[in-house]
Amino acid sequence: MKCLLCDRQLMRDTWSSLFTGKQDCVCKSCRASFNKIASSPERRYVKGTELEGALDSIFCFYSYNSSMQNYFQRYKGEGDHILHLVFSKELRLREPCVPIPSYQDSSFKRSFCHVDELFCGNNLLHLLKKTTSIKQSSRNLAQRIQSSNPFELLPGAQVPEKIVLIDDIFTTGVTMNQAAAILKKHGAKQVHGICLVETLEKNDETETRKGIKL
Amino acid sequence: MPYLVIAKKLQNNWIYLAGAAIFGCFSAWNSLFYFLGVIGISLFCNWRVSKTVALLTFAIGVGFYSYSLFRVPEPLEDVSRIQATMTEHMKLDGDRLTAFVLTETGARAFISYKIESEQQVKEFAEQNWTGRKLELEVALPEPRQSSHPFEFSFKTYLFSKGAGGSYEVSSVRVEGEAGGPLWTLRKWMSSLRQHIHEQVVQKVPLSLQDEFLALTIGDRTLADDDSQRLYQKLGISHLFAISGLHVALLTGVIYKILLLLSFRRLHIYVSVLALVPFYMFLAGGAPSIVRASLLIFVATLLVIFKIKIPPSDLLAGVFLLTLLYFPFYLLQPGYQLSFLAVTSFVFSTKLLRHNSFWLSAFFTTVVCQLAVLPVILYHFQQLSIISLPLNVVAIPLFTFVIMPFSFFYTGLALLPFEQLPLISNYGSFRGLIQFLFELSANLPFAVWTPPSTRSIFLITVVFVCVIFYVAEKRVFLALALFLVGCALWQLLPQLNEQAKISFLYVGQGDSTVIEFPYKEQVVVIDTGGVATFSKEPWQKRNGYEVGRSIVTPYLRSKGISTIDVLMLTHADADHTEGAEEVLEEFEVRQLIIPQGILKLEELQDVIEVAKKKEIPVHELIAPLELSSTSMRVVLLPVPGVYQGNDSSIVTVAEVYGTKVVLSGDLEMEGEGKMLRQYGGYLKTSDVIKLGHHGSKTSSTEQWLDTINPEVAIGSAGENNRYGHPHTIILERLKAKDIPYLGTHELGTIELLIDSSGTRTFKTLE
Repeated sequence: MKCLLCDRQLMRDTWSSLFTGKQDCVCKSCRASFNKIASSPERRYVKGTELEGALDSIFCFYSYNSSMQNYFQRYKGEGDHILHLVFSKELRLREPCVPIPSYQDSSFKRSFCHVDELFCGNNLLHLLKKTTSIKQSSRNLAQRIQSSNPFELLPGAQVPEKIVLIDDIFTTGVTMNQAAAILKKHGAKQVHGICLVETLEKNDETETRKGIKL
Repeated sequence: MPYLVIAKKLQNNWIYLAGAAIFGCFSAWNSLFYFLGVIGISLFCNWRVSKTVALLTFAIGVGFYSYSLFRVPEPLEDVSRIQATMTEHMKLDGDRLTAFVLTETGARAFISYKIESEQQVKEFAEQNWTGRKLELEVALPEPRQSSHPFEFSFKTYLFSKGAGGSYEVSSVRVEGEAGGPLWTLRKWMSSLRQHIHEQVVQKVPLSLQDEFLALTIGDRTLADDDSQRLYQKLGISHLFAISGLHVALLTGVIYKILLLLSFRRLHIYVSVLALVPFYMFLAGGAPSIVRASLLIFVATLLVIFKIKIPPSDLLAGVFLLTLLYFPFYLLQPGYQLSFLAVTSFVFSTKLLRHNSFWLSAFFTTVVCQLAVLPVILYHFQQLSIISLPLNVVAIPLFTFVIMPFSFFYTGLALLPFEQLPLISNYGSFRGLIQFLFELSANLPFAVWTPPSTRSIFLITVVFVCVIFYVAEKRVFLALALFLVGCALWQLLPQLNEQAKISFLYVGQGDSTVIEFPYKEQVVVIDTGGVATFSKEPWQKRNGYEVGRSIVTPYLRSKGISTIDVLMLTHADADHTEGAEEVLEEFEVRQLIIPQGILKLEELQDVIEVAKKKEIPVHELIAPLELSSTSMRVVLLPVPGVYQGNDSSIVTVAEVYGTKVVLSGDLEMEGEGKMLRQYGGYLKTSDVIKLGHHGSKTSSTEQWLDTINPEVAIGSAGENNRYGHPHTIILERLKAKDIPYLGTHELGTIELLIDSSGTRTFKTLE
């Protein structure tokens, strides 16, 4: 077996790999290149807007760095489906969770739904649908905040009281909050968010300093 | 191609095949119960790895089961004359020659020969006997009753060398030389070894000879017992065995030198390929050398052909190869230790990566020691604690100072130099190191003797595995777990309320161990031994030591490291000869002997050791009582002048309402004296150990009637020449309806006494 990310020969060289029989699908240096933080980032971009307080809590596993960028480039951009295995061991949650949907066409283009696959070991509850094809990454912060809510409830969906919302990347928190707001409108009492990566893009920071006073 | 697919599936999984092979071999030799291990591993592979691997592990398990069954040596035939070829495994000890020979059918046999003349001893010592065809007059030795499972077992030793049995040789006649290229090579190698040996003995100071030979050509014939015991106690004896590190270092040095001489890398690799097997043969082919050389050989081949194989696969592959060549390696401690240590390194990459040199050196020794812990406990029943910090210093010292010097001076000794430069300076430097070693061996808590029995072996294996598993993420939790486990293990027998009196089978002789309830005290009465007769200097040999092969392993297996009282009933060799070894290897608080024997010649060796270790020696004049809360042991001296057997100290142990009388070698006269003096006290005991091994001169009607035991125990050697126990005594016991238990029939007998007073007799088969 070879490392999924760098193609180097994988070795069985830990006791856990001997006693459990299972091996990591990524070599040690690739694994170490990701920056594990386990944080609950605070974003104040949504303060003062109608989205404030929609999301009750948020938890992220990693912070964004160049190897994470490469990873997402290959996984999401080039559609290398097997890479969903890289983090699947860590992303095991106890409760059923609601993935943030992507626009149907882009899922179709990629041939898989990246958030669903990333959290593939979990009990997924599909409650939401995305109505626009515009990507958040193509917009700046002001645009993001001012945009109308792109999500709507799937017809006939039963919304439980406590919900775990999952996504791949957490930047400004607008997407998560928008989805949470929809769910809360339809009867959810608590919405907690879990993301793989937390990022704070530079241009967002400058934007916020220039535009909106925080 | 299907085999390529299989190879791919097997990648990183060879280690499971190796595991299945181990269980396969043991299920063939020990019991089919071990085959559960094969099934377990293949089920595990089916569950966690893949179906192909699961099937292959099962196949390998079955394969090695049948292969090792096929390789089991045939028992030797009972003939009077055999034709055999001498191998290089020949050892001369005084006038005793022991060797492995190949019989005409190709079977290996162990021979033991008592040489008749000084002339012949010289012949054996000086000539190269490898590959000589011999005609031997032989007889099968009488089988010996085993004493207990922890003694040195000659049968297991022979089996682990692939020999079907042993012959006692009465005459040797040389018939000729074996031919063929293989024998020529073997002859040449052993004459080269002999040449190196002679040169070193000639030119190197005595104190350094053994070390030089051991480290360069794996020759341990000059090793003396004292220093070997010291190294074992310090846990550094592995440094004197040529190991993987050794071979790796040597090849590394050769590689660097050839590189400096601007050879092409490929040529260097090829020369390594040639040199490694040469060194393997030269160094005598001990299992650790075979392992290391093969590993380096295969690794070099892979480098040449640019094939990349994960280290665990390489290791497991080499393991399977060596097992195919000689499955009995699996039973040799050296092989077990060697592979376990390397395996632990391969799987501990996560644990060994530390920034600080000292921390990683420390973890390296900890990992290595933990991995070999089950094997060490199984074979030696004790663990050197001092070895942990000591190895951190000793390994680099040996690798980078002592070993290079040994090679350097041994190399010089082979050249025509009369005098080796500066060797006396090196000798005194080495002497200083030796002095420091001795100092650290005398530190308290240098050695831990856990109360282990062999069934605990499995628990240790699991325990160690758990620790390794935990240590991947939480090193300190693992260490804490380990310490707590050790503490529990140590304390458990101290909660045991049973009293135990063990009558050890020491051949013709006596040795009894009394363990108090809750292990409050340990009393050892007599230590067995073999009577020795004075000899010519050329006949002197280290020989078979009852103390070292039976008594000390037994004590250690019970977790005993301190003996409160060692009592010698009288001065005869069959009671006292082993005392020397017990005094040397255990912490003895006091030594008690009968009055008037301190100056006897038989006892001088023992007294000397006691003096050296500052153990107080007391002559027993009046009865002495050793007691704890629930048990009482009284030592009763025979009044009057010392008269040999008749002055044996009698021991009475009272515990939970049971009274046990141990009557030493007391004969008629002594029994009479005892009855007159202490008759009232000896009355109505429950168990007696018959006086003088059950000879007809002891155990008089009067003695037996007074003591009136329920059970009689006798300690005598199987088929001993004195005819002990005597039939008259056995009939006398029968008439009185007293059942008799003899160590010559049952081996070691343990008497367990519960707090309720229940007595249980146990043998240790």
